[in-house]
Order: sequence, then C-alpha cells, then structure tokens
Amino acid sequence: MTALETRALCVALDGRPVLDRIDLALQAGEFVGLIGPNGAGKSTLLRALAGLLPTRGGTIVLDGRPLARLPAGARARRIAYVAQAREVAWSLDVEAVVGLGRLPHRAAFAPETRGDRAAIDAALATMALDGLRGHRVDRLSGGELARVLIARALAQDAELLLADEPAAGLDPAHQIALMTVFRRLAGAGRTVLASLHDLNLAARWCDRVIVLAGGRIVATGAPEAVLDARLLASVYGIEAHVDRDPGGLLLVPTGLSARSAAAARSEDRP
Amino acid sequence: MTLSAPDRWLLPLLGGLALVLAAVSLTIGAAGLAPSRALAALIVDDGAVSIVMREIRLPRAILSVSLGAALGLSGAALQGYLRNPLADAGLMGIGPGAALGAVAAIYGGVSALFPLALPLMALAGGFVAMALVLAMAGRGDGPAGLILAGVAVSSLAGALTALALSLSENPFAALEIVYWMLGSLNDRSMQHVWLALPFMAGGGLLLVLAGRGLDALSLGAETARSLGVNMTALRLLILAGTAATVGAATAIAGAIGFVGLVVPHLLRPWVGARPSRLLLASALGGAALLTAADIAAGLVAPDRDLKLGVVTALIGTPFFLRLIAAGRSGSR
Repeated sequence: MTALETRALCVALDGRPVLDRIDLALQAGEFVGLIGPNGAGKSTLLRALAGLLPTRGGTIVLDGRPLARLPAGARARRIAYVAQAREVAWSLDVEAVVGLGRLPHRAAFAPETRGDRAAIDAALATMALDGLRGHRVDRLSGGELARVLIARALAQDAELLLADEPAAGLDPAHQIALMTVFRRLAGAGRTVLASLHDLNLAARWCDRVIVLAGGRIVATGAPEAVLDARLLASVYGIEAHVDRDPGGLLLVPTGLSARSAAAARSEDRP
Repeated sequence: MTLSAPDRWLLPLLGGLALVLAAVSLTIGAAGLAPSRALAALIVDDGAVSIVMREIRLPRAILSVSLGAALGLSGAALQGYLRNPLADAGLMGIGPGAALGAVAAIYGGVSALFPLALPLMALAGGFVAMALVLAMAGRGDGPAGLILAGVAVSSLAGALTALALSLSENPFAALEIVYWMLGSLNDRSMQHVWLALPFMAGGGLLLVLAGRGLDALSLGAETARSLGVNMTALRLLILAGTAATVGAATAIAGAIGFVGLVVPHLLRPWVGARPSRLLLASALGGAALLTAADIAAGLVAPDRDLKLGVVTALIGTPFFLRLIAAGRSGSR
C-alpha cells in the first residue's frame, strides 16, 4: 500500500529551484534511506513531504489525498518530522519535550489522557531515555538531545516518520539502536524516511535507498542493487571499496575519485 | 500532562498573594482610615469613608492587580514567542507606541478637554505600533524580523515622544508628559477601570489561547508547524493580545517597566520552563508584584507621590542583576 507519493514535485527556496520533478512512492511498512551529497536537496525534500514548504509544481499525495488539502492538525497526526537543527528554547525536562509530540492529539487545554501517557512512556522506553526523564534538556549531550527529539516524534504516533539526519552525532551503539527502532516501526506497518550520511547505515538497515543529487532522484532501489562503486563515484565523487557480508553491503570510501581529485587540484591553483 | 508538585501550589500561592496584597493596598491611603473600618466601608455604606474606599482605593487596587496581571502575562507570552528571555512589550514597540499616543493627547491639549482622550489615544497608539511591526516584520517564521521591526517602531515612537517634549511650549504640558511617562496609579477612577478591563481581559484571553502554540514553538518554528501550529495565527494572537493588554495598561498607568520582563524570568524555573504554564503564573505574579510595588510607593513616601514606574524599576533591577549573576555562575 502506498503511504505517500509525489508526482513531478518541484520546490524552490527563495526563487532558486532546489527539487526538480521528484517522483517517489513510499510504501507502508518500509524504511527508506535518503542519501546524497550536501546540497542535494535532502532536507528540502523531507520538509516538503512534511507539508512545511510551498511547492512550485507537482503534487504530494498522502493515502490517495493531496497533502496540501489536509488541515495542519490532521497532517500532524499522520506525519511526524524530526528537524536537522536540534533546538529547544527553554530549560524543559525530557519528559515535557517528548510530551510535545502529543500536542496534535490533544484539544486545547485538554488534560493529558491515558493514551498520551502511554505514548510518552513508550517513546521514552524505545529511545532508552527512562533514566533521563526528569533531566533538563539543556544539560544533555548532543547525542542525548538527538534521542530526546526522536522520542518526541515517536510520541506523535504518526504513520509516517520523516527524519532529517537522525543518526548524526550518535555513537555507533546508539546509531544501531536507532536503526533497529526504525526497522521495528516499519515492521509494525509504519513508514520511515530518513536522510543519512552514513552510507553503511543506509546500506545495511534500509529496505530501500533513494539517491538524490542536484535536486533529482538519480537512483532508487534496494541498497545492494543501487549502491556500487560507479554510483558513489558519480554522485559523491569518491572511490569506495564495496564488499558484502551476510549482514549486507560494506562501503569504505578510500579516496576522492579521479574527477573530484582533479577538481580539487585545480582549485588549489592560484 | 499531570501537574507536578510545584505547579499544584504555585498558582494558588501566587493568586492568594495577589489577593492579600490587594486587600492590604485597600487599607493604605492618604485618608488614614483604620483598616477594619476601611474594608467594611466597601460593603456597608459609611458615608465619606465609603466614597473614599469605592471611588479612590478600590479602583486603584483593581488597577494594580489587573495591570500587573496584564504586564506579567504579556511578558511571558512575548518571551515565549520570541524564544528570548529578554523580550517585553517595550521591545515590540507596543509600550512606546501607546506612550506616544498618550503624549500626543497631552501635547495636543485633547486630554485637558476630555479626560478619557488620553487612555483612548494611548490604546490607539499601541495598536498602530502593532500594525506597523506586523507590516514591517514580513512573513518569516523567525523572531529576528519581528524584533528588528519592534526595535525600529520603538525607536521611532521614542523619538516622536522626545520631539513632542522638546517642542512643547507649555511647560505644564511638558511636566505632565514627563510625570505621565514615569508611570503612576494616582487619581484613577472606576471610569479608568471600565475602560481598561475589557481590553486587558480580551487581550489576556488571546495570549492564553496562544499557550499551546508557544509550547510547540520551544522546538523551533519548523517543528512547531509540523505539530500543526499555524504560525501566522500564533503571531496575530500574540501581537493583538499584547497590543490590547499592554496598550490598556500603558493607557491607564503610563510606562511601567520591568514587570513584564522580571516576573516571567523569576517564575520560569517553577513551572518547568513550559511557556503555556508560565502564562497564568506570570499573570498572578505580575499582579502581586505591581500591587506590592504600589503599596511600597505609598508606604515609603505617602505624601510625595512616588511614581510606580520608578518603584518597579528600583525593585526590578536588583532582581535582574541577581538573575544575571546566577546565570553566569551556572547555578540556574
């Protein structure tokens, strides 16, 4: 079942075209990795899919209905979004921040329900934050804050989770824990789209990767089918050693590709 | 969310404090009445004493409580909206805009002909300032545009006020402007109460409605929008609510600083820093602080008409310095 689909989606930021005719479809129960070099348009795509940007052309369809026609409150109950910037303005405690994920489910001035409580507790447990419940977020480490903000999105209990570089700044153990959380969500029928810079995380944990470069999708498919040395050279300008083991692909960037290296040399020249 | 322990007693405590202070303020005044007789005269007719109580002291107590609440609430809402603990209505140009309206009324001599012209023009000045800020701030979600626009409108209103002062040929008008700007609750009547209360109540309601959006905004504008918050509506709620509350407060009492800045600051740790919870707490805290300041002004110099704005600044500054010092040493 298709959870979210775009047709010829075009997005411009300050008049500059960033996304160019994006066609993609996310299936329910799928964990999809969004990869591509800096400036490829990954964040813009995630924000557009979250309904946070005006589109210049094309449509975004959520469960068969145009996303643009969905009221903001209803949208927030169906799509959770984790921003790349990790900002919390005040010295709130962890539980309060995670509780903000319940806002779309609560009427104004309504007290917390048992369902809210359960969702908050589950999100805290999932992100292994039980011990930090009462801690103030401005005293947390960067990685802890990242986990709190992901737990906030989990508490939102939406069918679609869009996460912008959720693994950045996490140690390897927490990166893997996060990937298993996303896998579990997908296993429960939810849909996860996360931009990732760590190619091995994408290759080993995602059902599918979408490769974005220059505002276009240049490849999409199962990691084993898509991620090869040729693609990495053309998209990232790197040479990589590609191997596989029973757990999936192993990608080790070994250097800049000949073309990138030449470009770098020419920039060095006066 | 369940109320944590401090929340349970904080609001009753602050509300009780404001009520007690209001009762105390009713027993203090130039007439030198015994407290029990003074309070009884409010309800049971006691000739001249009742007139003093109902016409002079009661409006003063109501105004100190409601103005303090309006200032505290608007400060908390603006700080939440701008995600900045230094924000207050002065920064948004609304206080200075209202002051300019009042000064124009005094300068133009309208207020001498028609006493309510001053508060009415002050209210109008606050709303004009708000509209200017909105128009200048543009459409961005970030607080920077709004703060810049607010500072610009503030400076403009301040400059025009100074211009009115320097051009004033009537020294009495100039003196009146200066005194008015210092902020005071002297000689206010029930007429002032009826004029200001609807604006403060309506504006206060708008600000309280913004609480949910302010909570979401703790995570940044983009995440707030992803949680279903309409940022355009939130901005309107905040600015219209501030213009009504602070415009009315300034219209009645002149420029009273520091309440909107200090009260949310003091109370933030006690509500777990949640912007929505800070709103009501700051309203009650502001009511208590302004009433206390008014009592202090009456006790320290009963016959000298110590200006309320001066007292709040004198109380506020040491508190503020302590906060800065505590913040620097990292103990908060």
